Amino acid sequence: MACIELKQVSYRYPTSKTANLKEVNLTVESGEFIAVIGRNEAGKTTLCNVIRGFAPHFYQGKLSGSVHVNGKDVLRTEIGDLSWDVGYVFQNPFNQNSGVKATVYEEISYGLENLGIPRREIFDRVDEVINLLGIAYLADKHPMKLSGGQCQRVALASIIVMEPAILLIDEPTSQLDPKGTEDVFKIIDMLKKKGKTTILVEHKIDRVAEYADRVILMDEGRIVRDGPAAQILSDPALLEYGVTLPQTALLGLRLREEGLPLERIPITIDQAAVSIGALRKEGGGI
Amino acid sequence: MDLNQLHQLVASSRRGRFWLDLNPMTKMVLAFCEVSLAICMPGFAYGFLLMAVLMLCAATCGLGKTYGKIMLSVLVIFVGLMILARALFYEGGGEVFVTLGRFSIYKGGVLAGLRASSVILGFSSALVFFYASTEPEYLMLTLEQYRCPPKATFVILSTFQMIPQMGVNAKTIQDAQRARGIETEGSLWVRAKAFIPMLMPLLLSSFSAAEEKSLALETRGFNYDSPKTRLRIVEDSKAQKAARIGLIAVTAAACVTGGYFKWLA
Repeated sequence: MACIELKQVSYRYPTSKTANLKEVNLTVESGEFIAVIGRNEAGKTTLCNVIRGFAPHFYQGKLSGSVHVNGKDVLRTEIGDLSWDVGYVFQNPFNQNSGVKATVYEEISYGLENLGIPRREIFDRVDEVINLLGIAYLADKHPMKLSGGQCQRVALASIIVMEPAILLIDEPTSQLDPKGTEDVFKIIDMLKKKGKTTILVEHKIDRVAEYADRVILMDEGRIVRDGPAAQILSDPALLEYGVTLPQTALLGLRLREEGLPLERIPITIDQAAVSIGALRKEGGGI
Repeated sequence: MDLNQLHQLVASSRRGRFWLDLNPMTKMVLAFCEVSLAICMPGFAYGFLLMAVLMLCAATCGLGKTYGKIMLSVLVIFVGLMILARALFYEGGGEVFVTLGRFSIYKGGVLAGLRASSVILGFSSALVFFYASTEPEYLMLTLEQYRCPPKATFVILSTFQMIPQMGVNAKTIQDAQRARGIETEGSLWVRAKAFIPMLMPLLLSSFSAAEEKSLALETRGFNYDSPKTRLRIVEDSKAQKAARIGLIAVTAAACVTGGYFKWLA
């Protein structure tokens, strides 16, 4: 079942001179894990904002085309009602806490309180998420006194606990150190294994290769490529759009250039091990 | 702290100390009565007495240090200055209390200073004790129970957290500017000059954070139109309700009587 459907969507922020999204068509099936890549200002965050209804409900501006999320017409749905359907995790780890809660535990419960979930259920759901994400040791800390990585994990927990049908995760690790990045991706990995419909905007291309089933490349407000990760991320044309390829794909392309009969271009380390291992068995010259 | 302890902490407002466990509305009424009495009571004993009594109360619930520290500075700065000013510039004449060189300090001046101090002390000790003994979350929950809209309590509560946060940000900006050679320490003039270039980035970053913050809140269902659940529960009792009414009645009577005596004097 398609849970996100964008048809001929164009959108311009009121402060922008040109359109930020141009004739975007996108269908996302339930359970898909999609990564959105592209250079800065390509329209990745705007795409997320349109799916969540922030554009145009929050930012104003003109949107043409139709946006349906979870069967709801986003343009005709109150911005608050979409809280049930779409969870959104932002880039800056420090700007996502409510600012009114004294412990991480209550911070995570805030969304459920707003949705009017019964107290007993809130306790159960928050406990479950805290244990699932391995952040029980943070539960009694003050949300303002966490490191970036901890903050981002709490932000993820605060959204996951609301059990939205769709998760938008916008560059969650761009401001984090390697340890924080690792911790956040462990959670993303878990979400993928659970089959959560997820759209991840990410620059770290090796991570994208590891997790995404499908990759969307954006440039100047348009979707310029859309397909299986293995196909998109091994295409050297990506470099023209200001996006790098995964390390292993670059290696694979280089090996092919050198005339080695590589069956397919690997995009993850595991795939590289298999492909290159096969080459060695064949005595391909390595 | 394990999750069970956390549940208890969140689910009950009881902290095992009498003053902390009172319903915020009871404490608010109490503070209101104390302040009213400070205005209406004749003489100067009331303010000093109230300060001392509240000091004892604060000590019983582990707030002695917080309360004591603030009240000490109020005592030294405001009360000291008030008595000094009133005593030195008293023009009523009368009995001389003490003579310091060319200055004569009149008894009437000292008394006037003490009376004004009593009002200041009554106000400040009541408010300081109220704020020290009341967790803002519980105060806001109580206000919500008295039909204050959740958006209003949100604004108040987030301000409580935002002000220290802005202080931290200001320090970061100042450190960055110092690293680039802007003088931020030294005379008052140097500090004042360093303050202005810090203000701009501080305000701008707060504005840009506000956008992301409001989107994050929106994602958490801030504008979702339904009655909100609250994990924390504020405890109240019939006895406290009765005590609040009683307090107001007694204070009203005392204020009328006290005011009458004050008018007579």
